[in-house]
Amino acid sequence: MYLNYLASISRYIPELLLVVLMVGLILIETTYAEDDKNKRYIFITACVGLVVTFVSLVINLSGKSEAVFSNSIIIDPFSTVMKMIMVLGTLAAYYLSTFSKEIYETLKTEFIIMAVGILIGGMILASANNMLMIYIGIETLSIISYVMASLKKNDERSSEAGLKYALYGGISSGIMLFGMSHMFGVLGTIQFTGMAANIAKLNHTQILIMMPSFVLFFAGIGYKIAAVPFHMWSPDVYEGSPTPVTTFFAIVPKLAGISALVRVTMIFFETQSPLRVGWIGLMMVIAALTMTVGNVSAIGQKSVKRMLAYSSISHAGIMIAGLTMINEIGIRAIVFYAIIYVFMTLVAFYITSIMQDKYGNDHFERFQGLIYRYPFMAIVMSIVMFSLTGLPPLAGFVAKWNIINALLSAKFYTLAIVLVLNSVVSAYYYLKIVRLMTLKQPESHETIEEFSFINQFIIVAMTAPVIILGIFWESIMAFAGSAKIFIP
Amino acid sequence: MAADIFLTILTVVFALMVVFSKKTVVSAFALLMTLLSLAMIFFQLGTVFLSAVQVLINAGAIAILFVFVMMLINLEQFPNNREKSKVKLVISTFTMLVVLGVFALVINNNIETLSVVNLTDNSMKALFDKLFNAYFLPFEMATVLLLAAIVACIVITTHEKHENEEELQILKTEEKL
Repeated sequence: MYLNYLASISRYIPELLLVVLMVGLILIETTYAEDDKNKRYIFITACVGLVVTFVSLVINLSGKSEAVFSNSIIIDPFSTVMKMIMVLGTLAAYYLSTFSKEIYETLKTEFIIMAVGILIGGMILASANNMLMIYIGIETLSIISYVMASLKKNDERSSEAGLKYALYGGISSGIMLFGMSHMFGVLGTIQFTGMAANIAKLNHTQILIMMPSFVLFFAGIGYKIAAVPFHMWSPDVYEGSPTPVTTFFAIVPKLAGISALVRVTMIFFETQSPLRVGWIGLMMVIAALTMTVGNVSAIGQKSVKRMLAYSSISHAGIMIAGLTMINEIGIRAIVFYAIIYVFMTLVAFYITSIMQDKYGNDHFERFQGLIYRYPFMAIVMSIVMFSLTGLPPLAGFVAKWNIINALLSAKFYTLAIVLVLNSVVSAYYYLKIVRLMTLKQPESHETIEEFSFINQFIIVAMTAPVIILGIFWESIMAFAGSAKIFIP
Repeated sequence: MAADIFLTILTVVFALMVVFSKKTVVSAFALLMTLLSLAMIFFQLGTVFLSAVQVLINAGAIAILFVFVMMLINLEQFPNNREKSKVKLVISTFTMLVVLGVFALVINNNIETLSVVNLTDNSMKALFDKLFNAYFLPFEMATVLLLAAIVACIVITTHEKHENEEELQILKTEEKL
């Protein structure tokens, strides 16, 4: 009976590697003088650590799905694929932070230490199988995020972002805990499988009592994804935080929240019950609202970063729309969307960060006539914007088409129409950047500092999947299809 | 039994000191002693875990926090408003009545159960069996969260001198040019 967790550790190596990486980075940081600018070993350790984590996740992918640590964690292909995407996002955000001027030189190490901490939280959330793990995952994600949002300490908006994030986060975790305690009171266990089994035994009135507690439970996760009733923090936090932090926030917490939501939905609502009907209705309303509010609010924005924040809200809405049919086609569409979303978001934020470093702000006017001044940047940005809009032959189109396809196969025509209309709305503000970059004359003919070769290479490497996966998407689609949810 | 009575008297004396002491620091110290002797009563009753938690959280954290707050703010500047008024008299009489009523209820009904003490307390063992088996991972992950939170605390509280100095230097060189 004792020490039965030793057997579980062999399936939990990626997370343990990250913990070791975090401690190691703290130790290496202490060997440097306070004003040392060139912390080379930190960079090497962080990159190697994240890559090794990625490799161990790939190794984990081939193992059989199982529940470890007394059913509190599930290791299955779905969670592993989501974790791989999150590790990639962290690596890219960290690389961006090393040359961004928005992160203070003295805080660059702290950035990666906290990012690894958040990544651990995201991984817990992605494979959580009981309510306690979900809560610990969300708190690990949130508490460190509050500090990361206010990393630019001399900047008022950054501090404001941190405070707003903390207030919203505290309240929504409280609401979620209330919902969880309600569920525990009715069902008598915190294990998801036991709860699902107990839900099946409830009678009609008891199920009616359960409905509000699921809505409260959704508040905590919905806040992490920035789904619409809980999205108010997102634009302010995204705009106020330094751009590498925003890049990180747009990927890791969001995808972690989505994967937790997918697991909860698949475990509780796969069987037919009145709760399932209520949950599908809730998800449809939330998806439609999230898409619409995100897109409509993005139109009037002046700052590109804020625009991208609203657009990431709408992308979360599209991913939630893939959840409404509660079957494997929908999960496959969500995983595929997540893979494409990461690449598109990363490139868009990289370019925005470089513009921000150059001019001190990231308003739309700064992009005017970019094609005459630095064609490489303008072309890459245009590709990504077309892809975010969802125009063929780029990957964004395939991802969106998949979700629509899944919606149509479940006969959810209204939501599909809302999604298509939203794509049209989003075309307005995405293509506005393309128009400014190509058709307007530049503000000045001052040349922009060239990228180093390695930076160009990295940006091209992140843009290439957006083009290639738009045409040759079958293998990635099969990969996403193999990411199945395991229910013990 | 003698130990019980002694501890009870000790608790009540310290509790009265909290209220009647003129000096705030003495009050805080008396509060600490009240909580500690309450923990000893819990220990005497056999609830080891409750006693440990009482020492750790109530005495260790909260009372010390009171003392720290007193050290940080200068209490001399606040006037000592302990004048007598009718409202206070009414409230204190009411409180005394409620306390006496509860006391009377306890004596009337449960005096036997109070004397039966469960000395074979398994609560600690049961708790840690759960903690290191079923809830092992959440427990360990909470430590990871705390470690990352310590780094976050350091980040948010240190002052950024270097950036300002750099900016000033840039401004100075621009002025020279």
